Amino acid sequence: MSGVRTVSCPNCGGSLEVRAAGYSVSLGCRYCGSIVDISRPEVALIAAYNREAATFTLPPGVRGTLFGTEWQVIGALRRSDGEATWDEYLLFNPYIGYRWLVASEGEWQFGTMLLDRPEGDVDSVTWRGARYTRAMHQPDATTETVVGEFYWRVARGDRARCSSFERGNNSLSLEESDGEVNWTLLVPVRAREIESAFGLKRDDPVNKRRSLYVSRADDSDDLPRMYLISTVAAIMALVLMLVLAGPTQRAVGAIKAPFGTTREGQLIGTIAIARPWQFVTIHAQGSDFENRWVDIDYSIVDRSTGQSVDGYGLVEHYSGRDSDGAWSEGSRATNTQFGRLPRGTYDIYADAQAHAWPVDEAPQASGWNAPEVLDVRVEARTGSVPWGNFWTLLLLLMAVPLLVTWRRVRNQE
Amino acid sequence: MSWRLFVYILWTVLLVSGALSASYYAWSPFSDEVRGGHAFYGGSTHK
Amino acid sequence: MRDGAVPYTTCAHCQSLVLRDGLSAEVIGKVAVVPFDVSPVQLNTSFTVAGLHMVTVGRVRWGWSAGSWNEWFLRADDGSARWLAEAMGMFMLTVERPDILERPLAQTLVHGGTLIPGSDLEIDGEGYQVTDVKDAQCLGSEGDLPFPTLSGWQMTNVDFRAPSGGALSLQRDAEGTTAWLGWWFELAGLSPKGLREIEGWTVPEAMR
Repeated sequence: MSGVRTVSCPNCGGSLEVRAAGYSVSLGCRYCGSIVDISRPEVALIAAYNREAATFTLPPGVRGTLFGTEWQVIGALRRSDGEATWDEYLLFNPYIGYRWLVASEGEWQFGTMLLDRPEGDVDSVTWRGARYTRAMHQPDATTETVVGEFYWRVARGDRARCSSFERGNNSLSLEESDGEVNWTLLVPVRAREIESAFGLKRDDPVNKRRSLYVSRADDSDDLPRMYLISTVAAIMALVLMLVLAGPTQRAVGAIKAPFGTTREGQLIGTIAIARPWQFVTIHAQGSDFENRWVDIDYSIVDRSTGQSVDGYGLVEHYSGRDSDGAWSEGSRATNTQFGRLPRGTYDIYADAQAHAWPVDEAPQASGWNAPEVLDVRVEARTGSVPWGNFWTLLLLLMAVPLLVTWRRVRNQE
Repeated sequence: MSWRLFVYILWTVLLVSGALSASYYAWSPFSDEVRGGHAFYGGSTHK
Repeated sequence: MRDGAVPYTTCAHCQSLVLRDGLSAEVIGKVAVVPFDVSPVQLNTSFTVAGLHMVTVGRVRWGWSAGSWNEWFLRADDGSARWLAEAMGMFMLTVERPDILERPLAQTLVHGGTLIPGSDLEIDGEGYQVTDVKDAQCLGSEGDLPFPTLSGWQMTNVDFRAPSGGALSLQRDAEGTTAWLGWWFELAGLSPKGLREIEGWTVPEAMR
């Protein structure tokens, strides 16, 4: 006697197998997603849809042996409470009955309907001598996708309040609908058991759903470890960066910045780069000027090749009064960082020109005084530490544990 | 140790070795030097 | 004809409902063919519970607005009758207990009232709670049965469940109300023999 009844979907005409004929009431068409009433010999269309049915880890029709019993997945539901989404699978064996598998973010639970009812009241129930307390979170679940067959009227968009009572990792779930009351016991099952029972491969959705952000059971204590690792790594990196920066050598000089013309080729000093590569930072400090700015073009010239590495520095300061009072802006000191300087001896030159603000005119030479010239003290230092690199490293290291923490806090709200 | 922690350790090793290499070769994305290619800077472009 | 004690029988060839009265037989109507299903139970399947051996001699299929279920009529070796209701893979094995009809809650149903899930009834110190209320219609039958299973025969069914796994079923139809008390079972717990062979599935060892 064949166990399968074949029907045609009234909406798309697709051929569907009914595996629990006589028990199943609704069938979600796997081709177009329409809901079909199969409770009577004549098949009737309940709700027509026209889109691809969703993919499930366990598509209806697959068989597997779980805990020594062979089961066939005959129906799959995707439900959501607004935040989380999970899948529910209906398993069937005509000689055993029905069971459920619930998959939520990589975690699986096996469900069995109870023959003996729990006793209790609002806050807790007792079943087979054990007490189960009502779960804190009792969300309203909406059914989003229906594929396969079910023994009750299922429709996309169904809303139901999930009442559940917990004891350790197990829970009792209560469903009240259509003049019926049903209790189901849910126990956790390792993903490995499901994979081996249904022949799923390691890189199947069972594992893909283990998102980087959500963690359960054995993942819950890796967050403090992440913070520890990032801290240790940052400290280690800092120490090593300081060591790799190399010896510090300084060349100090004073340069002059005239108005209206650039004084070129002012020698600051000479430095030697001892390591294969080093950073050089040039610090320029202007004298006490106001409403002036100074352009400085640096050249770090390799004595052996005559090649120069150039850079730019700017010192400026402005002040005045307006309707809000006195204001000032600018910085009379600036740093310019040079990277990738190979071993060698270098002469450091600077070209400088001063400018007046707001009108860039050389101040009038007044009588016997020489034309105005700004003084800038310049110091070149080898072996500087690239702080920009360090802060970037720290940011990227901390980003992951911070993101996980943020997601956890958000989920708890 | 979870899979996620393992991946994070790999990420950390990657970042730190990157930072240390950058220090050895004295490279930084934040350096201000100008070389070869666009050496002709056109002089000051400020204000 | 499997069971001489019950008056109604369906002719498997022509689906006629035959009423036997003494030596005479009268055709009183046609019975709908039972729709196809994958129930593991069939006529002549036997069960053994608490030492008592019983055999299925008839079946009724009931349908309600959102589904249907089977009720198997069993004849036990001691001559008594049992009903085995089958739905969602769970079974209720019950024996008639007219005394329970005296209870106030049952009386509500007897006199045409409605019961709702959650109502309680105490039997032998156990709290039986209503878990299921349905208005159903006969969809067909086969074998020998104690009432006429003509198409459209209406019935109101109320199921109860106890913490011990106890089962109670009250059924009200045109002929009156009956009460059936027993237990909830999974198929394995009934020690079945002679189950239907369904293509694509093997009967578990323990049930052969």
